[in-house]
Amino acid sequence: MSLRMPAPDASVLAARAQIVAGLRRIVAGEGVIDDGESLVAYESDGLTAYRQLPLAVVLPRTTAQVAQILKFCRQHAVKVVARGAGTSLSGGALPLQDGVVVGLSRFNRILEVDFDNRVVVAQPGVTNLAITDAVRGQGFYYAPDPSSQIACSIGGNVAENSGGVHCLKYGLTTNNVLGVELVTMDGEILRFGGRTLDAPGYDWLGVINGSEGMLGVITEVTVRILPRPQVARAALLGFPSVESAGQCVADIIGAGIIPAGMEMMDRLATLAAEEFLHVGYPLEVEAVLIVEADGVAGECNHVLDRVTEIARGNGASVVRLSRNEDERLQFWAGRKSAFPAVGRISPDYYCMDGTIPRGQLAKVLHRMNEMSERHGLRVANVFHAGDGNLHPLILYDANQPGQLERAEAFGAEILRLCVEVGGVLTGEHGVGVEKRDLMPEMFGEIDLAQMQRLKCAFDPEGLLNPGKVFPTLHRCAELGRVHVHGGRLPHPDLPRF
Amino acid sequence: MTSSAALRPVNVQEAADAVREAAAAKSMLRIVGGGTRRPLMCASDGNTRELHSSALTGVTRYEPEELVLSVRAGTPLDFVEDLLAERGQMLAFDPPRHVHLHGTLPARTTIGGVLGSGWAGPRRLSAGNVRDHLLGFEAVSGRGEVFRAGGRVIKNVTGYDLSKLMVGSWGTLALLTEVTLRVLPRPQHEATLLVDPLEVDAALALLRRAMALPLEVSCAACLPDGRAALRLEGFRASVDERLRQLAPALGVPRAARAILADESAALWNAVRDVQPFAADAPLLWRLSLPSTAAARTVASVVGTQVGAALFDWAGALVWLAMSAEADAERVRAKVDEAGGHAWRVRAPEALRARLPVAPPQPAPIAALSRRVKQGFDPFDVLGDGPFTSMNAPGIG
Repeated sequence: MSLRMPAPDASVLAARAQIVAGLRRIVAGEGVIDDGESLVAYESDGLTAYRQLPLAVVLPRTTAQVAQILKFCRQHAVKVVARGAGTSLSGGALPLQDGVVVGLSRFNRILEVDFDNRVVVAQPGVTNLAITDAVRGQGFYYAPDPSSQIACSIGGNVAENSGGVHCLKYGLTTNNVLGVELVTMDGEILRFGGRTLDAPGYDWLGVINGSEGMLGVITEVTVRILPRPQVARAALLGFPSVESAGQCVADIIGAGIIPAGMEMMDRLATLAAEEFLHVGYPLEVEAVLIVEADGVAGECNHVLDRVTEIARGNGASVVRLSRNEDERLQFWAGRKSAFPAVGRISPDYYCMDGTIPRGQLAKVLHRMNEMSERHGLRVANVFHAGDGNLHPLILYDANQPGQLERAEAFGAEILRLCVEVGGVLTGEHGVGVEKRDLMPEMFGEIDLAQMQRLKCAFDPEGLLNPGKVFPTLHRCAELGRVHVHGGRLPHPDLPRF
Repeated sequence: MTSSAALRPVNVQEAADAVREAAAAKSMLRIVGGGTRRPLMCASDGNTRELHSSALTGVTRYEPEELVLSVRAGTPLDFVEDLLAERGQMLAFDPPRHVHLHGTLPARTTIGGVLGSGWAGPRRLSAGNVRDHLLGFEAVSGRGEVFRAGGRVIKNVTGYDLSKLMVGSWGTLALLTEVTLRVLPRPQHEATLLVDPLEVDAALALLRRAMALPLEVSCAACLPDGRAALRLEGFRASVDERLRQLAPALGVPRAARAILADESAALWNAVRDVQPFAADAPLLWRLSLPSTAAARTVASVVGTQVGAALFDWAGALVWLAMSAEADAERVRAKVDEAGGHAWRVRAPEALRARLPVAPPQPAPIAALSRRVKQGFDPFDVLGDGPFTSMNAPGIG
């Protein structure tokens, strides 16, 4: 697949041996990887369509080592790509030919569990689920739960501002992170936030969450933990049309209910999940909706009574309420394995991640079906209905010439549609390289320049993860003085991808 | 002192023109919403004009089913909250009215001012801060350019989250012109459990234990008289059940009583607006502390003086009133020791120069602030708001 990345710096490529030697002076032994065979493990992340061997990989153990590595790289103008568990679905950790990958896998310890202040301090390589595991015994959990939570790292979660199925009620990563230690490209170690709330001055945590590894390397994260609700119960609802399911969602919100989770699957996704797991999903309906309530028993009963009433009012042909924990988990099992389930009915699939205003769902699904026919590719839809985050899975076969390109064109068309109806390009997977060139669909030249100036304040040479997020590689000096007039591009000579 | 009449742009283009003209004339602008927080801003010189958002008002889009509201930044907060209330919704971060605190009556808080300061009310403990509710915006940067960021959906990671950078920036980076906020359903019912006065450290420990229970306590405060207050909100059946569980779970069955509905709401509005200290206390601090260090830190400054402090956010936010000026300078030292920070909200004239409003920032972060500010406002048209430390000598 062709993807334009910043042109490799020939002098850096030529100095590879010296750079590797320099890294070895900082991290001894197996902490520096430079042989081709071992580097292959780092050539891509969860977006496997794009691959690139890095110059070298370094696996530090301490913040001081990270600081020295970044300082060394800056001195020698070497680009740096930080990597957590490598589960990004947008190519956020895609290496550069002339860049060093800083892998945080050895930062794998939980440093402190503080039940009194309800926080956990963890190194960035700790997995998302390991945080919940560390506090489960005391009745707590960490709320954001991306579907890759057994593998993805908390540092990567911060970099991508990861979501999950409970965002409407409990927020994304950014709403649950209280502190971060970050090393800048200068090798400076900065601490933001921590155990006190709302540090004065600019909201650094707000910009670091979701900055896709472009502002600094995260070496410590403090998150808030929550007491686990006493009860969680779910409703499994089946509807004769996508419209009636969509209206049910709107009516639930309209009734003042914020469910803990609200997930929709279309017919194809439901069929795939049922075929895979036999969890008892209704097959004669056009849309399945799972609505979860949590809290005390009285809360769950009240919410599910109302949800049942609203669902019937919208013509639901199937209404089932979980009677015990096993049944609740069964309702979810199909949804949670929707991706692998779709993987079984198609050789390959391409997962999209736009967000739309909830009310636009029916319209978007109809337009998507038209596109599906035009591109000759099937599409299955799973939808975080509570927060409007849509995951169309485009089914294709990479071995058939032209299908991958068609899948990508189809995907780009879906994302343009999301923006057209008032939504956004990405809800939780990040821009990375995948949606980079679509950014102008949503933002003007001035908007993007303003974001890039923020990056310049952290990384004036543009050495951290260049080629991600922004479709145009501006030099900071240009951004500093340029005024863009009427949205016209002032420097047509600058590299554009 | 500010020079000449205030500017009142009526649309975003006029606002952008005003900023560009100020930059060309090497003069400065101070963004003013309702003007309720004016006393918190650094002194300005004769080269500064006020730019009022009072003509940038009105709702541009309200979609209750989408839980989203877009308004122009000069819209009064009261208007926004009334509009939301009509549809059974609210701004969950509980924006305070500090007009009484700052003695700036009859000014009216605007939505832009709420976002600029980034200060939330008691429900911040459970619903998140102001920054967690701004989904997107349109603004004029200090460069005089109109730009946008974010969107109108809650789940959005498209580009850097500049919305969060705007909240709490006190108008030093850009003039917000239109904002899109996340709104939430207003709870059907509420109740507050009031526990008889305890020593402060015992009261705060009780609040922390309550927050660790799976009962969704939405607000938790220790009032100046030593009573602990715990708020429950939601559907009636849910509130009732949680209230039944709460006192026994905390082991305070007898020394507690509950207040309901309007009476409960009134109590929390008083906490939100810091009413106990609205009138007299000459010196008032807003401290952010780890809850576990709050009682000790306050005692180290004012001793065990009753009635000097209001502890909100389960002890993580302290409003500290001081009558004598003798200890004023110790406050920041003690708060720093505990890993917190202190805003000086009110002080007698004679003390103001010695006690800057905003907490000082560590040098590397102040330098980073400078660089970020430069990217948004390279000609320093918008000033430093309350952040004197951004101008610390030898920085930037």
